[in-house]
Order: sequence, then structure tokens, then C-alpha cells
Amino acid sequence: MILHHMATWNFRNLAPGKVELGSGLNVIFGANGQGKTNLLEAIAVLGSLRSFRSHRYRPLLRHGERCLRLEGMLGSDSGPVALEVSWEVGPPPRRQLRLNGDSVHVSRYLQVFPVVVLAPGDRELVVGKPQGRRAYLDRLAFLLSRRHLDHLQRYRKLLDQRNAGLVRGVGGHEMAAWESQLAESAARIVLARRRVLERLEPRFQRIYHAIGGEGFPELRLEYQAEASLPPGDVEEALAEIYRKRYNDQRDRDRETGYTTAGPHRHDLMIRGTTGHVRDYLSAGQVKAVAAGLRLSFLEEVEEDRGEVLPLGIDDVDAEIDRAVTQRVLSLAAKGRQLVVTSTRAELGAWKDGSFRRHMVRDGSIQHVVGREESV
Amino acid sequence: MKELRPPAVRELLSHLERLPGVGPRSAQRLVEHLLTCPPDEPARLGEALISLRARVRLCSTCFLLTEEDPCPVCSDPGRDPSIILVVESPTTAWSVEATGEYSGLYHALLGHLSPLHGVGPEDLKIDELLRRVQGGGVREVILATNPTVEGETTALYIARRLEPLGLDISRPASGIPVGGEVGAVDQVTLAQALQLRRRV
Repeated sequence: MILHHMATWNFRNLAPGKVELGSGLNVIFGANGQGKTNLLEAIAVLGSLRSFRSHRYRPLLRHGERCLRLEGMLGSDSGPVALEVSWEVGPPPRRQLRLNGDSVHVSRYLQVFPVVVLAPGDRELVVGKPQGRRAYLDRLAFLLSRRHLDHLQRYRKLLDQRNAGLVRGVGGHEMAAWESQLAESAARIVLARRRVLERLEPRFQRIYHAIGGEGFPELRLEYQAEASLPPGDVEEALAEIYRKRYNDQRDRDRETGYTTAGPHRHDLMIRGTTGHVRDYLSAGQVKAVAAGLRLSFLEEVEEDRGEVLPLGIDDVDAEIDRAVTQRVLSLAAKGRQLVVTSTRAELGAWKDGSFRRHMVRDGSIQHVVGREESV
Repeated sequence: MKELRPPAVRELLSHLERLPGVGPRSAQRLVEHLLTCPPDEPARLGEALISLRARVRLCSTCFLLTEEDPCPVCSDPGRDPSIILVVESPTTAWSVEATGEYSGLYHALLGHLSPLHGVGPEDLKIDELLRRVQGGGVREVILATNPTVEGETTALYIARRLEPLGLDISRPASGIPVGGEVGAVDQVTLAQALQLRRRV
């Protein structure tokens, strides 16, 4: 899968227009603050409808404008696809998604371009709040099975109803009905996430060990619920456990007005021999774990789709542990289209494949032919 | 800028735009039609609107819309009184009746459970359903609430309330529409249809 070109209008400081991308390595270079990362961010939003820098769309909009638009042309084994995202500030804010010119539902759109970007903010995936790791697992589960999004939406609705029921003091019989449905939904989500994690774990181990050097600790990925759950494909047993948990905790939950058990509180635990890794990993080790999570995610989707996918790497030559960066880059290549940002025009680690360079200056992106001095 | 729409047009537009599914554009089209169609058409529409609320009420037994109480279904000796089909809205019963496949009685709940909107069992016609069933003669209840989170929970809640009475309680099957293509069905429906597959 290749992103042939990317066009933006009113996206951050980028000058409006199209950037042609090569099928091998694309280096987006320029001094700090010129807009290198903005292009990578636009690619991420085009594919995943989410930025790796902001949870909201508003900051993506060029100052003083009211709507932004992104377009891309994707080439994949199943044929070319034109993607388009437009967003208006509103009120109410309005987002429109198109594939080959046809307006489509978000769940269909998100299946088309499963872009992955390695970014400095990825350390949050390792040491930050569980929410980011849940989103990581859920996105992978959704890319492998579209139904997961329906299950999540259903769970969310049921959770909102139970929480409203807690606050309004809804009676026991009615609460039991909501909890029974919520428990079934919870069981399905836990199972989907555990299945995904089971597939991911050996891949993660391989990549993490390839990236990591001497002295990198042994790690395990574990699904962590509020209390232990039986292993295996046991949907009905899990649903029964959650029915009981919701029932047992109802009185306590009424005090807080909030459901304390269930997949909305679970975590992907990255466990070392002495507990959670966030407490003792070095910055370089955190980076290696994050890269391991992102790359194993990418490989998992690639295996499912039967084709390699584009990969973005932001700030590829960041100062943190250059040896780790070099190993990440050589692992990442593997015939993929790469889009990387760098303050330098040349990448020492790059040995094979085609090479295309784009210089960014004050939001303008220019294809650079021939050798250029570093900026 | 001058206001070109005469006051009577503006007034009608403001009423039409309050109707569900009618936006400013379609309201404008409706007004245009009403001004150009034969003059007796709007007059008959007006009469129909007035008599709607004057004549139509809910059946005191099953809560379907009716002009006579009890409704034509409840008072029909040819219907099977041992089966009750429960729906959220009276208009759903119209669709079921149009199939020509159902000869039992109906019961409209007039909504579904939703703590988010403050709708509890006491706001629906659930106690009335229980009283009907306890009155005797009913052996089967079909819970045809909508296949939404709220509709399914409402069905589950009612099923549990009815459980001690030892009736047959069922939900209509969900699956692939007849005459449709298997590949065109959404994944949730398809997955459910596969789970509930039957031997041929």
C-alpha cells in the first residue's frame, strides 16, 4: 500500500496544495518549527482521523480559517482509492468523509488506510494513562474485525444507561436488566482485546528484542482487568462474572454515580520482572517498547491484509538513543513506504531502496532533486 | 434585505419546520405545493389535521391507536387471545399486521426504558401488560421491541417480570432481509444471522 500524494488546505501552517510521495523512503527535512511534522500529522489524520499530537481538530485548523480539507491518493492491492476528509468548525462542527468521491460512514472509512506513525509522543503509550493503551488495542481489534467498533459503541451506550440509572436511583429489577446486557457486551470486548493481545505478544517480543540492545529488560504484555478473569474463549462465563460484579458493586457504584468495573477501566499492562515498566525504564528503553508496540501493530495489520503498509516516523534523528533509532529504521524499512521527518537531509542508516527528499520551509514543501546540504 | 414571504406563508413554514424530518427546504416545497394544488386539497388536509386529534385515541387495553375503544383488534372475536405481541410504538403494529401472518393481540409500550432520558418502567405500559397476562388466557408473549440497546433491555426486563407466570416468551429473529444480498448486510446483522442459523 502506498500513499501516492497528499494534499492539504488550511491544515496548520502548511501551504495549500499537493505533495507527491515516493514509494520508498521519503525524508521531510527542514529546520525546527517549519512544519515537517505537520505533513506527517496530516497523513495520520487522513488515515486514522486522529492526530498523534492533538485529540481535537480545532488546533489543526490554520489560524483564522473555518474549514480544513485533506486529500490523498492511495494505491493498494485492491486498487486505487481517493480519500478525502473535510472538517468545518461549525457550530455544530461537521466532518465529511469520502472514498472515491462517495460519502461514507466512519467505520468504513477507517478500514481503508490503517496508517501507523512513530512519534516522540509515543512514550505516553508506555508510561501514560491506560486510556491510550486501550485505544491502541481497540484500534487493532477494529482493523482486524470491523464489528469491534459496533461492540464498543454498544458498550458505551449501555454504560451511559447504567451510570444514569445509578444516579437516578433506578430500581433493582431494571438495573439488573441493564447490567445483564452490559455484562454481555463487556465479555465480548474483553475477549476481542485478549485475542488481539495474544497474537501481538510474540511479534512484539521479536521486534522489541531486535530493537533493544544489551541490558534491555525482559517484558510481558498482559491484559489487566479490575480483578482476575478466567483465560480462554469463554464468553458466557465472562458475561456471568460481569453480571455478578455489576450486581455486587451496585450499591458502591451508586455512591459515585459511576461504573467501577469493566473494559472501560482495563489496561494493557507492560510488565517487567519487578512490576510495571513505567517505574524503571530508561528513556531509550521506553522508546524501544513504544516502537515495538507500533511496529508489531503494523505487522499484525499487514499480515491480515496481505500487503505492506506505509509507516511514518516523526523526528527520526531525535537525540534519544541513536542506536535504537537506527535499529528501528532498518526494521521499519522492509519494502514499506516510509515518510520520516528529520532536521537533516540525509539519513546515515538508509542503505537501500528509492529515496525522495522534500524540504519544508515556513509551511511550503518542495521536492528536492540532487544532493542538498543539511539545513 | 426585504422579507418577501407573506405572513401567512411564514406562519405555515414555522409550523411545518417543527415536524420531524422536515427542514426549511422541504417546508418550502410543501408550501409551494399547497399554493398551487387544487384548492380543495389544502382544505381537506386541514380538516384531517383537526379531526386527527379529536377522533384518535389509545385503546385502553392494548394502547394501539384507535377511534373506538376497545380497538378493532381487541374486539375481534376471530383473533387469538392467547398470544400478545409487544411493540414499542403503535405504528410498529401496523407493519406487523400488514404481513397478514399474525392473528394474535397486540400491546404497545409507548416507548422504551432509558435512564438517560428518565424513562422507567412506570412510564411505559408494562404494568398494564402484566395485568393483561395475569388476567388469564395468555400462553405466549412475543417481545417485538426494537433491536437497539434500549429495546433489547426493555424486552429483557419484561421477560424477567413475566418469567414467574410460566408463559412462552420469545423475540422475533434478526437476520438477512429476504430478497437481499448476503454480502450487502451489515456485519452485526450478518454475525447474528449466522449465530441464529437453522438447519435446512
